[in-house]
Amino acid sequence: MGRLTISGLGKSFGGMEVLRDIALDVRDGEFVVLVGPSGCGKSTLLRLIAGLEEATEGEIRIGERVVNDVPPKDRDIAMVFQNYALYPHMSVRRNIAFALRAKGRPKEEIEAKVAEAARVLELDALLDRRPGELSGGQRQRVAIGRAMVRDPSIFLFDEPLSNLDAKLRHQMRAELKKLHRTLGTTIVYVTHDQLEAMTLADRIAVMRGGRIEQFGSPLELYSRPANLFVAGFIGSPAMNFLKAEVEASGTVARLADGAALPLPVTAPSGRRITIGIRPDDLSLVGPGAETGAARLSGRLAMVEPLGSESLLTVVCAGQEIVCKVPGIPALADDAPLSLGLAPQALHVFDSESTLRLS
Amino acid sequence: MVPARLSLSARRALWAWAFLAVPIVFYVTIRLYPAVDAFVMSFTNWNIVGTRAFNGLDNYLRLFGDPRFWTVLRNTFVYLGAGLVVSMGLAFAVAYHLDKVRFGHGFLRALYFVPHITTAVAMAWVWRWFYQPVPVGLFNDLLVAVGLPQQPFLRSTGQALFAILAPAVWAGIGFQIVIFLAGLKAIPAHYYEAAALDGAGPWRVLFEITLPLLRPTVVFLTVTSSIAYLRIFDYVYAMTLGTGGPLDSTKPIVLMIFETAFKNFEMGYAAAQTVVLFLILLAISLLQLRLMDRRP
Repeated sequence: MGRLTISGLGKSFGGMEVLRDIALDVRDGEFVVLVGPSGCGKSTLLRLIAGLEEATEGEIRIGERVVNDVPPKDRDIAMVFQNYALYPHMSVRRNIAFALRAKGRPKEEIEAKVAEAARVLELDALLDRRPGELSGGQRQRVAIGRAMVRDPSIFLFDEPLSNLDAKLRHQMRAELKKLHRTLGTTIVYVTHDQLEAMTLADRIAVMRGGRIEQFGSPLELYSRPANLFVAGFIGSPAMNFLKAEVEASGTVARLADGAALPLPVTAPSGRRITIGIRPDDLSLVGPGAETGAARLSGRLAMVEPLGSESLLTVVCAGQEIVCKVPGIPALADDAPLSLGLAPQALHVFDSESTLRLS
Repeated sequence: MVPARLSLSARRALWAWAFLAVPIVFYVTIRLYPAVDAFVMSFTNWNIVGTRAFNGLDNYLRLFGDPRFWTVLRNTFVYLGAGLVVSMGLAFAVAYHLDKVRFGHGFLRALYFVPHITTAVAMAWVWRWFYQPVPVGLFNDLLVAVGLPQQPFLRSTGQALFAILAPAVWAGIGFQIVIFLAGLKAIPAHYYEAAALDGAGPWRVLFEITLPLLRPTVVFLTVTSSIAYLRIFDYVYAMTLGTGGPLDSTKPIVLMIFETAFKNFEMGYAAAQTVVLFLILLAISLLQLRLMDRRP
């Protein structure tokens, strides 16, 4: 059973607390991504699951079994390391077979499993090469093959694509997703790249400062971020934030320049809030447009053409906000602009607690 | 000094050669010229002051017909074989375990390294004293204390060579340990982590991961240590008072060369012996490099 249950997990190195009160429930066959900035503890959490580090407190369960004191080899997991950890002096075949040989499996079984992994990962032609003779993507596949033959109940991936160039990364992402669908094995995957997390995961755990900030599906994280950190971390280009204060009515926010924005929620009046707006939810509106939608006005600071779309940086109420528009608009520098948005598209956060108000 | 018209790379090369010139001249005068001269000398008869008389292969024929040469050659190879196996084995075992120790690591490493930087003659004399009979010698005192018979050590044709080899090994392993430690440190931790996840036991990790990845270190140490043991001289000279005895049982080839050249003043014959030693060193080094330095 590839179910992983973590509760109350904490880890300290010396006096340094790097993980605290981690709770995570990964379902059998699920693809879960741990994402966060460097130093957030995501790799440490993976190493704790693998058994390469010992937990200071809390419990890790794989299937029904508590594995805190189980050595890595008996946890029924396989791990793909960031730098692949392929043994440079062994052929691809011997690398893939290493775990099976260590377990003393019969020769025929080893050969059959290596052949099967090589077939799935298209490594047949490379079996007798050394890792040094392979490209980054091929090494990546060998590392996966080495994990695959063990038939683990959980795969652990530690930033496996970070050593690849952008194009290959995109390709490997697709292959990983396909592989997950083929094998159906539970995967816990660590990355600092939110795009990788969004495209691969069934569910994402966003981590910061040794804690899980939010755990949910990519759509959930994108459309209902639980706090300012998750809101700013997930989505590219990043969400715009505007400081505002709630009017007496509780349904209108007043920006620094006096402009009013209708709120999708009722907030306590006088509360200092931060309004989040995704660049995709903003659009350019002409002077004669209908007045039902909310408006922001400002001046154009910069245009970044991306080809099919452009990113406009607009200064609104003394704050820079980014807006994504189709094509490449012909606009003069410092031109006055009006940006329209649907009130439902606003994300409202308490400025003090940074939590979402809803 | 350097014409400005030359290209940047040419000027850079010129400067490099300017700096290299002094050591090159020095090396050629004091190393290369005598080496070549020794080779030429090996075909002559010369008593260091008179004229050199060309005598063809006489020196070599005499050498190969000299039973002392074969004894000395055998001794030299015992120094090499036993010294290499014991020192490399000990050094690796110490380094392997020292690598896992954090507490007192630096102190222990320094402790192992001290014999390497100690004067060979001083150490040889201390060890000579250790090997003396009761009540002077430490080792015999210990043997007697635990009820074992005394050993002749340096006075026995069977034991003397190994008694001399011991301090040489002891002095040599300090260096080998430090190099092994550096080699072990250079093996990335993730290989061991991957092996731990794969369920490899300590012996499998040692033989399938650590040692193969340590191959460049092993090659380097094997070649340098082999050369050192083939050229052993100082410990033998100091511990046998220059005799290589008893009955030539500890005499290595370098001591024979020394005697031939500077006791008997048979420079041509001594030169022939150095040429043979050189060829042995060359052959063994090349063989080791070939056998062990195959690309991983």
